[in-house]
Amino acid sequence: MQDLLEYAVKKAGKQGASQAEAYFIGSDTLRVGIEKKQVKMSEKKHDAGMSVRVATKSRNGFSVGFAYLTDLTKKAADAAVKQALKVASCKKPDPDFKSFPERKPAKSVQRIHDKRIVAIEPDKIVDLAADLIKSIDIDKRITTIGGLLGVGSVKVAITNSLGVRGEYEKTSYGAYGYVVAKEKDSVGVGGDGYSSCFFSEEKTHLSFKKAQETALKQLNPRTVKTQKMDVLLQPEALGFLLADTLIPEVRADNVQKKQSPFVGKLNQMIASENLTVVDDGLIPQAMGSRPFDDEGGPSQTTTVISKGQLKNFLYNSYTAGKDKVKSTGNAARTLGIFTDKPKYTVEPIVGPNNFKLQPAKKSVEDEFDDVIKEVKNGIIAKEVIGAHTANAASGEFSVVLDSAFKIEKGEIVYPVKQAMLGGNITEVLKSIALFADDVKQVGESLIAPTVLIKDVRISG
Amino acid sequence: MLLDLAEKAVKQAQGLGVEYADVRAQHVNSTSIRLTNDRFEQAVSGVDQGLGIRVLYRGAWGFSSTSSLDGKDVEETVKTAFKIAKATSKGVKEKATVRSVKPVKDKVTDRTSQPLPEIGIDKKMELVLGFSKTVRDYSSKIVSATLAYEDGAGQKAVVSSDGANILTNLSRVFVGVNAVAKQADKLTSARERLGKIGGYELFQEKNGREIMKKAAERAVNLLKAKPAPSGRYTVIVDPRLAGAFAHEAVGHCCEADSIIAGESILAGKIGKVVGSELVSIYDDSTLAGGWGSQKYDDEGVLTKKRLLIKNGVLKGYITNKEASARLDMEPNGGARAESYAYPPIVRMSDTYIPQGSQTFEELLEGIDYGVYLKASRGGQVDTAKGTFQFNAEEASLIKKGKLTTPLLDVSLSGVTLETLHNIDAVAKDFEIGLGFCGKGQTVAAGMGSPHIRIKNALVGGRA
Repeated sequence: MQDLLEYAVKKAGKQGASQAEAYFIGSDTLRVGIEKKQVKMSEKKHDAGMSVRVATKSRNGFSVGFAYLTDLTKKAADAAVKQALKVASCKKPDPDFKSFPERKPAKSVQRIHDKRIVAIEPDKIVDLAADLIKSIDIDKRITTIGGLLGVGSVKVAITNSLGVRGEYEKTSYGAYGYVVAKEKDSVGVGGDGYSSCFFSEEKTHLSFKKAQETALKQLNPRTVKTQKMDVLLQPEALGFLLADTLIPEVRADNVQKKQSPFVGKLNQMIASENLTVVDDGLIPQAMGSRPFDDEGGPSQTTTVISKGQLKNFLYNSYTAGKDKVKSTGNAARTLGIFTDKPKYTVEPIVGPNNFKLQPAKKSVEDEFDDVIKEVKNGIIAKEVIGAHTANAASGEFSVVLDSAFKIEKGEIVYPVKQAMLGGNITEVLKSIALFADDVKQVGESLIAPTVLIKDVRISG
Repeated sequence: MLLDLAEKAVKQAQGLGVEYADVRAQHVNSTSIRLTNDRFEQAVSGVDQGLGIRVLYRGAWGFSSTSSLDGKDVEETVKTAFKIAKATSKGVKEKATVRSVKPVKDKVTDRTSQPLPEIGIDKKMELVLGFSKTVRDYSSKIVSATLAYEDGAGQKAVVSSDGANILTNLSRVFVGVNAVAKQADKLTSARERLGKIGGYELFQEKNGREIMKKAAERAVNLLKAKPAPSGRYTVIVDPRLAGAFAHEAVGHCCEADSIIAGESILAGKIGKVVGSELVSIYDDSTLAGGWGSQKYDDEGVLTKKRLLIKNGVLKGYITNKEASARLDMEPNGGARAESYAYPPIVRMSDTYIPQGSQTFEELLEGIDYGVYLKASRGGQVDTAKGTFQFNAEEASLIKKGKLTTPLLDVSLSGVTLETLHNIDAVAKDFEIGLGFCGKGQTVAAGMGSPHIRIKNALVGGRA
């Protein structure tokens, strides 16, 4: 593949580009769906494509153009180079553009490729799904078991005219179990997931078991009165909440666009002094790890919040050039509403690698049960509903706490329905008091434990 | 060429002994532009092509897709779909079947007077820049404007083993804006959208600049808004938010796949009273000019106007071939796929509450203290529990029958069936908005309604 990438980069140079980049991604995914206590549908997809990015120079700066192809031939590459140059010619020169990434030694990242995943046969996943269903379908009240098991592998290659040349292979595994239980008129729902670069039957079984337990425990919920109380947000709930608030708000592109409450707030306290947040692209087995980002910049560990102080934003090469700082290796080819668009069709913007919440001091990490014991009057929630409706520009949000339980005098007492949490994400971050020891990756980027948030208003 | 490939793939699958197969093949030229504060973050045209095949074998489904339209790659893809269906069949207890419809061969062309591929990307970039300028020039308080332009035009073939053979010349275009306003430490935002099934003539037919400007106007007005109270109030919900409620909270529960999966509160409730007699809801794929409408669905079934709720009584579901077989219903054209790379699943099209008889003023009358919620920033539902949550983009306090203080960051949540019963007034105005619905796949969906009034609704604010 490097041959065609190099061909395109050279061609672009010959046709007048000052800088050029070619990127390839090929992916294979296999997913097995579980519905109504049975294996329902399996799907296997293959997708491969390549993109070309060019920068043309004029007196007032560079203009960047972009194009992509799925027909991986020299002829199609020629057409893409031409198209990218045309798009560049339609743009005003951008004085903020400095350069595509320069060649830098890439860090090595361990255990992002599980050979077992590449070799896995559909039968094996189907058998696992059947086992999972059997192992948790042991209570008459369980009416539905659903879920998804998915494996994937990607090959990525990149070349640019500044000497960047890299490739890597990476695998991914994701499992999600969903259980509905019924008792008379009451419905209890539970869900739990596991994601990693590595396949794990054991972890998958644990997730499905948790989903089942939650569904049963959620039966016969009660409402709570509107009042101030403590809230324990589990990793999943934090994942949903931060994906639409803190994570976009520390992206340099959003800060530069002033679509963030953190404009001009570097080195200020924006969270509890108990909280440290890092973005780390080098964690073994973690979903967001990779040797280099989506424009070939080496991955690194970036401290975003240190003991409550905002330390860094996340940068790709463009936003770094604009702020005259170094890129943090956070170039990401992703788009808002059509999130599943193939990466080769999308120009790199900024995104998290593994966005990790941790206690500022190791010693304040408590055992999960001890954290519960700390709560005199509170609520613990595994999920939140409606986080994507948050206002990322201001950090304001209002969500329904889901899979939630009331805690009184240090003990979980009953399931809760329809409790709402509203506020500003910085207020929530400032009220983080304790961290449990149940650190987990949820989805593709967040890694967090359950956190205790003191004294927030809950509407019943 | 696409039809040939799709027909061959279906024949190959039939040769392997499948009970049913359907294929979607597409070759679409698309353009995607993102502009923020006059800088193009994306400006790209390209071809999105590929083929996806779904087969049913021994009661189990297998799906496979490829981004290559090469004959050999397609053959491999068919074999893969068969292989994984066979593997899946070991885990199937209740075998799936399909309810077939009358064979149909047809060619459909989305009407356009200005075909999208004839307009260069330079022109489209210029258009988007113009919209951005309008928004940014509206007020010095506008600190940011993000524009998104998407279009796609090309061909799609749908062929099934039970006789569907449909070629669509498709064309659609969309542009949306998010305007952000700032004053002191306060940031507010508002959105507007414009789009149609058709071509570039949209921008002659509609005054895009005026529509985009509304987002700026609304974002600036929101700067004056105050934090909202929390608690249970009588609320009036505007057509955009009520449309989102009809789609999210009710429509999703009427999707037959969630019915047969046991994940909907409306399972087994046909003919039963599920809401106030003032409430009716349609999901209509045949709506003229409808953003979510199409003549055939992605299983090749002729689509319909589906009555979901009539005067509070549940009347029907949105269904596909498989769910129809299970529920002993006729397929009504509710199967949609985001693209060739996805299997078709049960989806809504244009969902709406039809007009009632009262005026907006009549809805306001008699509300001593309540909240008026406008437009949706998005929402989420749990179809199994029957709960929902929405965030309104704008809101106002209602005092003694009058709209008063503008409010900020207000959400509406509740239990769907309780809420349907608590609707005590439906206005005679009507508006339908453009939306996108995500259910593992993203498709265009229209959501509409008149103003409606809901008693005892749970409002979440920050005051």
